Amino acid sequence: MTWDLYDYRDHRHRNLVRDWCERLQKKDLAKMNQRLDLLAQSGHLLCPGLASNLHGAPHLYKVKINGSVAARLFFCKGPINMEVEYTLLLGEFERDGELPRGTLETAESYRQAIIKDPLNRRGPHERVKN
Amino acid sequence: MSELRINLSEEFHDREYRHTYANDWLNAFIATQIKVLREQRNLTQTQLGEKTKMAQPRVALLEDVNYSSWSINTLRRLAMAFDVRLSVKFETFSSLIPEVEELDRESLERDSFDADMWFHKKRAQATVGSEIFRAANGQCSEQPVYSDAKTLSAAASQGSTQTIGAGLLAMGAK
Repeated sequence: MTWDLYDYRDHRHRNLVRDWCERLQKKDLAKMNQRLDLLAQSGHLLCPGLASNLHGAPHLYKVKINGSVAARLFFCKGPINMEVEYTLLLGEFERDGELPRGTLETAESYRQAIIKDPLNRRGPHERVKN
Repeated sequence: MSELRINLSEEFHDREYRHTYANDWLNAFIATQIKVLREQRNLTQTQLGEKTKMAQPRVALLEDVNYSSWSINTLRRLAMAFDVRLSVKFETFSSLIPEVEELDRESLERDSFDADMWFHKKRAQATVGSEIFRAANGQCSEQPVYSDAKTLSAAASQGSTQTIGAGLLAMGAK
């Protein structure tokens, strides 16, 4: 069984996840695309450590890439069809083990925006190529 | 052609990209297979640690797609604990694509030697063959004889070492 990946879109319909992925260096992008391929092929449960649960944010998960930067991509299951979809919400970079303040709240607000307006606030995942 | 296939066939033209992708895939594959093999055998991480003489946190570390410091010796110890063989091979990049496409729990499971039906079928066949030979040479007169197909089949499926061959001969004589 495979899963469909979606990207969050802001109110101007911009794909912020794609914009963030475009900032990754080639090696980090290869790692990120590999993780997203795993997610799409087998879901977040089969591969241990592929997706971390987040304390205080029960609907959110994070993909970790430790390369030239500590890239973190936040996503959720669904949120429209919980059986076959994941939506990528927000990319961030950890510095000294810390995320920018308000990261989880922002990711959760994006998830809520999608639930309210799924047609306009998300679209199919746009893979960034090297 | 799947979208994944199209993407990778384009992206892999870049040397640095394809090697990074493949290395990360290998890390994820090994970590996931260790977890799947452990769960297939109903072992906890602590129990696997006892079998491999590793502490539970180390097993947890190995079962993480973000781990990358593999050693052949550690993998050999795990192979011994799971009673499977370790296979390390160099492969083409094109062979990676179907591996990524076909990844699921079943594709990662491997039977231990004791559950490996190939060996046990072979042993049963060898037993039948040798018993036919012994029966034909009159070497098994004191063994019970299976005179019908049902009992013979049951004995064969249990890998019985009794005189299956004599049974076959007896059935042939009927």
